[in-house]
Amino acid sequence: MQKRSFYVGYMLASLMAAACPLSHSHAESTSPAAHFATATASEAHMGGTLRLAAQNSGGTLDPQVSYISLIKQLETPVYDGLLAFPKFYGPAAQHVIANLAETVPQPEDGGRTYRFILRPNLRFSDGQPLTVEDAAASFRRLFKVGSPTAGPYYSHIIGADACLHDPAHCTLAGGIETDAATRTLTFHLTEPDAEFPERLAWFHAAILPASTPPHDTGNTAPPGTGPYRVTHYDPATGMVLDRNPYFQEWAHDAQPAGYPDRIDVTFGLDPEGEITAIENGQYDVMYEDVPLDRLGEVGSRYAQQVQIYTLLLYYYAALNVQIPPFQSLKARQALNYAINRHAMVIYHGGEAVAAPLCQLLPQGAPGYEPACAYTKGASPTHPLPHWQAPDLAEARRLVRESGTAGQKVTIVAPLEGRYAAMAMELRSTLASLGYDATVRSMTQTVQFSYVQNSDNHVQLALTGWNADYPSASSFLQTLFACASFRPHSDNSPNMSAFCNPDTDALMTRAATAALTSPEESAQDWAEVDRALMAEAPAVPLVQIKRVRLLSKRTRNAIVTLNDEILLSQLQVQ
Amino acid sequence: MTSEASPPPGPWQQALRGLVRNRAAMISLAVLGLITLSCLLAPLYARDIARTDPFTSNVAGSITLEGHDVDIMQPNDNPLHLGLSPIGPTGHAVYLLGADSQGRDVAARLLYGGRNSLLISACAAVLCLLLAAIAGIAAGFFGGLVDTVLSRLMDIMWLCRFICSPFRSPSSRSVRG
Repeated sequence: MQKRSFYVGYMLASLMAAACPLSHSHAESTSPAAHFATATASEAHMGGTLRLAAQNSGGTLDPQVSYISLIKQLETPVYDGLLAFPKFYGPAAQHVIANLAETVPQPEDGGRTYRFILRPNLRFSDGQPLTVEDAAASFRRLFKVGSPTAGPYYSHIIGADACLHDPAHCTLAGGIETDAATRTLTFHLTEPDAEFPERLAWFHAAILPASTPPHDTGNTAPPGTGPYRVTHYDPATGMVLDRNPYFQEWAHDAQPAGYPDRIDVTFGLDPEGEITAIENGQYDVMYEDVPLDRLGEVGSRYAQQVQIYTLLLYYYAALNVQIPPFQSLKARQALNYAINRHAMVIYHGGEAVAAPLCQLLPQGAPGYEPACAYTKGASPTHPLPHWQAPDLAEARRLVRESGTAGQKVTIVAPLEGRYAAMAMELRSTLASLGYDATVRSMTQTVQFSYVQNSDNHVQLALTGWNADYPSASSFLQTLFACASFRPHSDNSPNMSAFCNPDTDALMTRAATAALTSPEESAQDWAEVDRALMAEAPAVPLVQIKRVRLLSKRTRNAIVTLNDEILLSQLQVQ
Repeated sequence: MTSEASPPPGPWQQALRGLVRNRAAMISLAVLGLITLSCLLAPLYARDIARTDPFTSNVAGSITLEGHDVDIMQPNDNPLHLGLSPIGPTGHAVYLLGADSQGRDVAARLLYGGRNSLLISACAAVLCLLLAAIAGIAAGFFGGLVDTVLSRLMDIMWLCRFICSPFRSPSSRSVRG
């Protein structure tokens, strides 16, 4: 998602993509079409219009604000950061590479200083030259616009604390130095951050013109540096990306030139309509996953046009630990025991595209160690390696002991796709435990912000998460650290409102260990995962692969760790 | 000498005789009775024969057919192994007509659904009879203007039906109180 729900889709994709030195391959395309669709250089086809269909727009186009996977995918060929995740597939794509910066710098001062030199002759899509002052202003703007990752990702920059407390007057004084003559940009951190390079490659660290307004630009996309620019956007109807006339490829692996002349996005088709339209050749790519009832048809009749790729993407139910009934640890554990994760797998199309998940780090993420605390025959102190079956008897016992039976529970879930089926399964499970459960559905874009805001008192939010980049912190710290819970804010990814100083300390230890010993760090993150699951602030449900259908005329589908299918690299005949 | 003739049959008797003589009507009545009985016995069927809860999702469930455990949601047979399909008609009491996309017994849900359909139909018929009886009694009792107004209203209703129906009857009818 979502971003994180949707984002979840996106996060999952990102997670898979966000390369961590410890991680193994993330975006593993399992489709035969992955190779079939890849054109050789001699067959490359430039030009044409790539037509993408999506059910809804993703809201704001501001690259430093949006946390929606659709927007990230669409704007990947529009914006650049100093560093980037490689735009190719394979084991080498796990590590960040230089993008607008000439090289990936070696950290200095014990990991507290990073010195970048900008590439020469870079221009934004409006013709302005890109300077180090633009880069510095972009990081100040992250705080001014309240970027959802400003705190979690960039708070180690000196001056960030002041920016978080008073965003309007953010200067990052002492945190960023610029030297226009040498095109040098220097970051000074309060303490070493093992993931700082990955965070500079993250989407929100896009470099924008210094003149970009210090507020969410909404339906207007600021000028970027990538091969495309947004020339039209109507959240109700669609979006158009045309070539950026000032783009000249500086690093193919970081930001390759695009093949289609134009990318035309239409909003409003449901996934069923998208599938039919692609089968009929009316569209080339669909954003949503293939609907469950069309998987068989697509797998048998259009197997060569299907892309299946693994992502660090999972769906989970965030339980609000600050309001009843999930204030009670036993109530939270009960739901974890009771949920039928096999059913969740079936709702996503079976074992070919999904796997049950009962921990907060997905398989493939750094630090992942199989441990299922909530399955038949297991407990938080004696977990099993894998989920076996629900344990309703244990769940009912816990509910009885919690004294929460009979309470009303509202599940807030997105309308789209498989969320409805998952929400109904959750409702049935809650009912079987004695709760008076109902489902409240809303459009995913709305739901994702709604469930984050503590003012809405959401008891149970069904959502998904796709890591920003492949690291344990992208899941555990972003979703469950005290700093990730921002009361009264729509940008509060800690939807469970969970805050445990002991767990936070464990996270800090794990993050710090990454600077010196990635292996030790991975073990620490596994411990954080187990500690969090003992507190059960969420119910992990299922880890999925994405299944997308491309049109017959579409070639050269490149799936990366961090960006899913690269739209700019698709060729349309 | 005059013989005492048997009294002519009353309207109810005439109607009943007409109905009994009408083979199509009797067959329809039998089918309706069978459907009604089946639907009334839906809970019994679900509990004791199909042994399923037709209102609860059961995608992860399995059933035993001829000694073998069979998943209710079956993997699709395609090169990518994408998707699952609900089990089809089994020919057994369990999941006689197969499962729906939520893994529920279609036969049991059909019977439960039939109960609702029959209930709605019966309510509609009873409501119609009640309203018609009230209108007819009022027209007959008060006569005059009330009769005229009600009769004209009935004419309009029949007219609407005549105009709107794609299968127009050869003659329109009027109803008088």
